[in-house]
Amino acid sequence: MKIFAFEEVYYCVARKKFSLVNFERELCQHLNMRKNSFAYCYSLKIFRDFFQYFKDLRQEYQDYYAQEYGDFEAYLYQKELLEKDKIALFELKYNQTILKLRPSFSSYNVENIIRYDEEGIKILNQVLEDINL
Amino acid sequence: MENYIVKVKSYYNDEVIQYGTGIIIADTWVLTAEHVVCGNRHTVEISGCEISIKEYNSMNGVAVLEAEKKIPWKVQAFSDDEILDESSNWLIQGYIGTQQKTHEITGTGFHIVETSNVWDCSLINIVTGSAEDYVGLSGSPVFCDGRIVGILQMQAFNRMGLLGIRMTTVKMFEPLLPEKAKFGNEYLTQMYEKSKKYTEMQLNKNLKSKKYIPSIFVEEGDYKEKARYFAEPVLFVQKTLKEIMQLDFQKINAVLKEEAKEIDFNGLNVSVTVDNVEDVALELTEKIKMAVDNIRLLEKRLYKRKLAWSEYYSIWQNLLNSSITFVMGEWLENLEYATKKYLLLTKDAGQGKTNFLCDFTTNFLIRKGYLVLYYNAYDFNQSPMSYIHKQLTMNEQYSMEYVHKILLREWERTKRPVMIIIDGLNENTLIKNFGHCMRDFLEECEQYPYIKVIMSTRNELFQERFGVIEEGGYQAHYKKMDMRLIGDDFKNRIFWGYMQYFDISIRPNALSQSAYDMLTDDVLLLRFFCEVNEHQQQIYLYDVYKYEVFQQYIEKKAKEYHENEVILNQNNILFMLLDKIVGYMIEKKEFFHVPVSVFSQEEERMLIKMLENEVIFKDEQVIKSGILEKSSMTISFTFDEFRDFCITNYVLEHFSKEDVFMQFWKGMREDNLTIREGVQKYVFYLSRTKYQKDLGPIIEKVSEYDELYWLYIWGVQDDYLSYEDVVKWKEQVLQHGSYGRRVINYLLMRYDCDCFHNLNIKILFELMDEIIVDMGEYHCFMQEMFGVHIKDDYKLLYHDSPKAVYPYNYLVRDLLDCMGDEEWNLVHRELFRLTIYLFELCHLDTLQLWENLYQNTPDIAVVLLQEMNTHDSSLIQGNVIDILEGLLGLELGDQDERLHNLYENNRYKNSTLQNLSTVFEFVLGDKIE
Amino acid sequence: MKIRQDFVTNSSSTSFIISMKENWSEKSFLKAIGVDGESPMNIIFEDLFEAINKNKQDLFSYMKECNKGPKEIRTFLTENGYSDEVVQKVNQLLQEGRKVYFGKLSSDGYSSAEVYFCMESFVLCEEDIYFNGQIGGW
Repeated sequence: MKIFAFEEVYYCVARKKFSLVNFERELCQHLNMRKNSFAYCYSLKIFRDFFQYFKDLRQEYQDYYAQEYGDFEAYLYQKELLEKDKIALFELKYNQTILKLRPSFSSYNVENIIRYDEEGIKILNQVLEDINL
Repeated sequence: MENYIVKVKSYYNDEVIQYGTGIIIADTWVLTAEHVVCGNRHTVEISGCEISIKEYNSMNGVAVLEAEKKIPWKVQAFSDDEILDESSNWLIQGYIGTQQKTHEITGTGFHIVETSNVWDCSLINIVTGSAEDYVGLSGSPVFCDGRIVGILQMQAFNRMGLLGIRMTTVKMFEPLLPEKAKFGNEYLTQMYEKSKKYTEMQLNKNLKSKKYIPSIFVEEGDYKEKARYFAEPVLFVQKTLKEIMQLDFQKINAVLKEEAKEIDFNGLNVSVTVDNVEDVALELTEKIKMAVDNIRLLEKRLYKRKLAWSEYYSIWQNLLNSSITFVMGEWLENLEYATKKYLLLTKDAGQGKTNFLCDFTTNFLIRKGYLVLYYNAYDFNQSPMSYIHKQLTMNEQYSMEYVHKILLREWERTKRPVMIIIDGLNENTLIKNFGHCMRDFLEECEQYPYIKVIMSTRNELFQERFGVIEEGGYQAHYKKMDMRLIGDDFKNRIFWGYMQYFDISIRPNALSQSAYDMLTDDVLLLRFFCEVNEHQQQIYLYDVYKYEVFQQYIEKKAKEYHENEVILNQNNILFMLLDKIVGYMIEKKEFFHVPVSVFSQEEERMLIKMLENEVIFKDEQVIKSGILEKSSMTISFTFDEFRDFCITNYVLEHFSKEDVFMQFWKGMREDNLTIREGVQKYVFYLSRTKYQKDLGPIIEKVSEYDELYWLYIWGVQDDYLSYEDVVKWKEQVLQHGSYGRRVINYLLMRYDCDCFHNLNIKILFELMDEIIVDMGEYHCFMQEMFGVHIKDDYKLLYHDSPKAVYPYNYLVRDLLDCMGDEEWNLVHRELFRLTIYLFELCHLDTLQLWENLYQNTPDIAVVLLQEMNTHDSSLIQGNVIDILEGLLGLELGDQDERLHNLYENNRYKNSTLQNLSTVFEFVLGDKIE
Repeated sequence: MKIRQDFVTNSSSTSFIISMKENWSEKSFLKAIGVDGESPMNIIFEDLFEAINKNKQDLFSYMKECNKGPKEIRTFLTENGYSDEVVQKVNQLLQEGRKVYFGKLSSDGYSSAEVYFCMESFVLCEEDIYFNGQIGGW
């Protein structure tokens, strides 16, 4: 999995049928911190705040917009206003979807972790790198 | 009799025991009533020949016979989708009696009875063709509205003792029919086809006139999403519901529980259907409102509880610090659209309303198979309802009563409305009080639950012309959507979309932010600009010169309007018309609302062309006073600046004598007319450009010339700037005039000397070369114009904005950030030269900048250093030395002979070393002594 | 994770109280909060330590700068927005002979971690560490 930040809008490439429960289960195994400690809980919270209100764009496209747009990419370009070079960055495979992350639904604060520098997103992606969901 | 209706006979041995009628439904299949085939052998008669039946299938009293031979046939339309009620007309065709003579019965009215398993409908009120015995007609098709809706099954006496007939409707035997024979409602099928064709034609008109350019449509804001809720409530209310169900209120409910104000959407966990959509939307709205209220209340109470901050924040940050109430507010807004019937879109003139409507119609309504009728309001010369009636009844082929029944039934089945689109209310010129007309129309629409209307008009003068729409009795169903918001994504897409569509390419690195902003803030100007620059390649876009754009636009349009006409002077009519409008304005000192009545018929035709195709003019209705007050159609310019431009042109062309012109000029300035600012600007521009020779000397005489000069000179194209300007500008800087800083800023931005030939950054270098002679003065100059700005991290200063024109550290930072390929560095090379002049303001970063420049594009760096190495000023030479030393410290630089040569040939270095050694000797000598 | 200064416009600074059982060091802090393995997330907590370390001061010397004597702990903490429960806890820690630090994190601080934790509200009360960051927000 990998998060992309485009002008304070966050996307994550994941497999289709992504589930939050499975994600948290996997995440717990990859944190490598003392269970239930401050650092562990906060790390979990950061990811939870990012992912809890994800929107599965491919699913949404299929459920509501497929008739309007020729294909998923056209939907991303026109409805999500994602530029073509950015869509290409996703390197989307047929069995993958894009999750639009909506951290502000959970907390205004969590975006501060990645808003001001590129390091923040790198850190989250290093954790996500090993999670193949 | 149609030849697919055939005679059927059933034999017992060789004797016919039953006569009937059949319908050919496939190449060997004939449909009839099952009781007709009661013998042991059956035939159908085709073109006088009897063909034997091999076998048959049946259900619910209906049989499909399979003939031994192929029969010529064509698809017949059976439908179970027609309205069969007391007022529906019907027709039966078949063969009656043992003679099997052709017979027709007509009547009005169906009576559905679902008690038998072989028939389900009585045909009532026989009008023609009644008989004492209907034998032979069994199996005959029953037609209604152009479709076969059933077959005749039996005759029976009704309660009054009259002989009546009964049929089996298609619904009962539909599985026996081949797929091709199953049709929907005849009217609907036709109507959907016709409306699609009609609407596509309307869209094509807009495509052709370039009012609709699909490639530049951008889905900005949430406008299209809201339109989706409006058009397809079932799907999109479901979407919101799903979103809501995703929210987790557990934590917040733990707090709200104390006051029994918990948020709970579980009761609404239903699937949205056509039957419950309105209820779900309303209930959802109520519940969301309540949830938002409860959360807001909690916020307030929390504040009042006087908790210690530590307790306050534990609740606030963990429960309330999110966008959830805001998001719910957005959902509420979307849901509101789902319950509306009339939607009025407003946007500023020329900013893309038509594009929006055409996109929504093409990509949503048509793709999803809506029944949609698209109108351009300028086509109306009577109420929209008369057009709609005409189209819905297919020119009265169907009665409105019937249409109403069908469409109502369709609405109840699907909750998909008949969508009426009316674009550009403001463009209607043919109906007086069009605002009232629209209000009455919408009120009339209240009778038709299945009609929804989307309209569009401009923001400008909305209240005056269409405010009345907001006063109709349908307010609960009406919503105005102001599409004012323009986001950065929108700007980016629309800008490049237009460039691509009009085949314009911009030279790399030659687009300035200010030009981009000017064009994207006003799509109408962007449109003008692109039209006049169509197919231009590699243009510079540092500035947009509006007067040029306007001038070229008029000329282009003048040609276009007469493209297919043989006219000696194509420009004439348009220019004469513009003159007439402007002349009227000047005479009346009124710069809006020119009554249409002053124009001739030919001129009116031209006006209409402008109204239809272009965005130059708009029409208004105002109360005009004579002795009596009366309503009159008027026109005005959409673009105030364009109007001022036309007025300026008029004045310059018509007031040929200097004193007449001066009189107008004085009057305009004294009366403080609306046009003053615009006109004086364009007079100034024209005096510097197109009319330099004639107008220049006149305008230079006016007392306020100096004021005008410094106000507007910045907007004049470089080609028209002269040596006199250079002198004037230099004076401002050297003599510390009020415009000195502006001059520096202007010159700095004109770093691309290939584009700006006359006044460019080289003048800045000339100035600096003059100032540098006095080191004290030079130091002050550098500080004033380029002084470094350091952000006050401790916030000791309240006002912490930079004082310099362009703080040098920002310049270096920006160059470091942006520098890149050869092309970029070449275009910006003069800015790198500037850093040699300003080196001492920020040594380290400048050295870094040069190292990067040298590593990226060594040739550019070397040429610049070479040119500056021989500069007259020792300060500059010293700066070059410092940079050279930095570069020679690099591995690449050390190997570069050119750098070594430059270093060796630097006069400052040589003279300083010499001087130093003298001092050294002197000091040493001193000591020895 | 250093952040660029020129983006943060509104700023906020919020106080924290921290006390450790072991001697004050990055190692003991990280251990106390559960950072005990290799994880990319560690850097966030290392930055948090750096921010605390830079901004912390012994509680008493901080109070002294605010013209408060050592006996005025309750007044000082209450004035700074802490509840009675916190005052009691701090007193308990001091009685146990533990060193208590007080300081402020800033929303335009030098790392994303500082900005983030400055705006969070949390309290960590364990044997090895007491870390109160309940006051956090605009």
